[in-house]
Amino acid sequence: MKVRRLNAAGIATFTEYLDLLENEPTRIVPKHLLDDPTSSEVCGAPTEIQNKTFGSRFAAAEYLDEVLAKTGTTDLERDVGLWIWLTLFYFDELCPASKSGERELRERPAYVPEPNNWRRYYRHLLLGPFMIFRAHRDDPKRAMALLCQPLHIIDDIIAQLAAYQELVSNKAIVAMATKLYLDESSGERKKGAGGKGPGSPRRLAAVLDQFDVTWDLYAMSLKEFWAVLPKEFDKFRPVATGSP
Amino acid sequence: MIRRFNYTDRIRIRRKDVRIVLRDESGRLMFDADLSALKEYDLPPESLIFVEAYRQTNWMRFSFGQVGAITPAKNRDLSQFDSPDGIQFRVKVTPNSDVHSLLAEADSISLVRPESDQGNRTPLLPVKPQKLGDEVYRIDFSGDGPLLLINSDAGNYTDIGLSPEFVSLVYPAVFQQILTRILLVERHDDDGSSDGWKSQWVKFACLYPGLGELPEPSEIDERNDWIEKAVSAFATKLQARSKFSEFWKGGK
Repeated sequence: MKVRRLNAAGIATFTEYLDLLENEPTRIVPKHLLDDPTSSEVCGAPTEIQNKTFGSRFAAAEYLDEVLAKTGTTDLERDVGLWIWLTLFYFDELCPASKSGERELRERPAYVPEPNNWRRYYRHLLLGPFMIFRAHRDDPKRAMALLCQPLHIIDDIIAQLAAYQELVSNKAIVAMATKLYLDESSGERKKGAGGKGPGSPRRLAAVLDQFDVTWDLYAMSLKEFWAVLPKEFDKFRPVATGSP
Repeated sequence: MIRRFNYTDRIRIRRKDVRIVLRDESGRLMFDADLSALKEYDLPPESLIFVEAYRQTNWMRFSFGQVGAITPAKNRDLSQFDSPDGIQFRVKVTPNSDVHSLLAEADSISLVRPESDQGNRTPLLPVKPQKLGDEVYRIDFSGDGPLLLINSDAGNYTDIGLSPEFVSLVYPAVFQQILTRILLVERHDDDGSSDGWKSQWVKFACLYPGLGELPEPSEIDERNDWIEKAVSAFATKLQARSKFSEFWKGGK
């Protein structure tokens, strides 16, 4: 299929479907909207897109970055019709059905993006990873702590860091978060990294927010962050980074 | 991230002292920044100036030389942004050394577009339709400033927002909720130099006569009284009672 975007009528039908799905969790996904000319239109230069299962936010973002670039469309991240079309296209992975065919919806911004809301854009299950990937395109694996989870999961690392522009766009901070909370050998989140106590992503965001009052965080290197990070993060920090 | 404590000597640069104008050169987005007012601040002339453009995950940084010798970056191309919508800027002043401390900062500066010399003025309380279940309205504090959400299933949100019953009952309550959030929950300390959304709301409240000076953050009871007075003056200005009576005509 070629990449398309939903028009106003298509968006209205899809959001109505989401409303109905809340009370009727086995309702059939309106996939016909994807290529119905009354509900959608071609997005930019005709570009083939495959319906596949990604398994992770990283894989999805990497693929979409490659495919969407070919459409030649500008201002991609603000193209609500495109992101809802993609949501519908990959709906089975974004909102998986249980064995009994029931789907459990997340909050609405997970499926209908709010690109103008800088505190919520990241909650969209495709747009969020796409934007994080693009911000770290020079070395996307740096952002693996924010991209390693399955597509339908937004954990506390993502919620705490992606909601803050100063943090998610800062290469050193994102690299530090990945080193703190991601087990390099398994590629999975470290045990305990999802908590709320000392050393947690929530605490990291709070500590960095306080640093932001005093320091020019964008000018600081990863080494400089390690040097000032409080001891509460020692349980997560890799040995090679040394003690503060 | 709830509250930040500024025990540093960092200077707040007033946003009115920074002017950033968009320039479109054959489809390329560029900007010019007038930072000449920085010379009026008590900053070492050799300290460094940086201008940062940002929108969500996009971020670009431009060097503007020193406070005593402002030299805009030659390339001020906003290449990471496909459109100017929603781009904001911050200005940072740092020591001319390897120490990355902040001497002064201004944040959330909007672009001025050439066709409009008014800047990007946004309403103090934007209103938006949204599905809210059985709630008629809700105040959303998740963005940069409060947003009034009106239940899109309840009817046309514009008509609802302008109806006398909604205006008379909801707006004073909304005003109270916002001031309570700013002054009692977040204990905003308004020193008059900031033009962030909290200060804008406090300034708006201060337009009503008879409120007196805003009490200190630690004076909880006094702040409560101040909010009550502000809401009462706001209701008077709105003519809330007569609007409600108009709606209630025929009611028991």
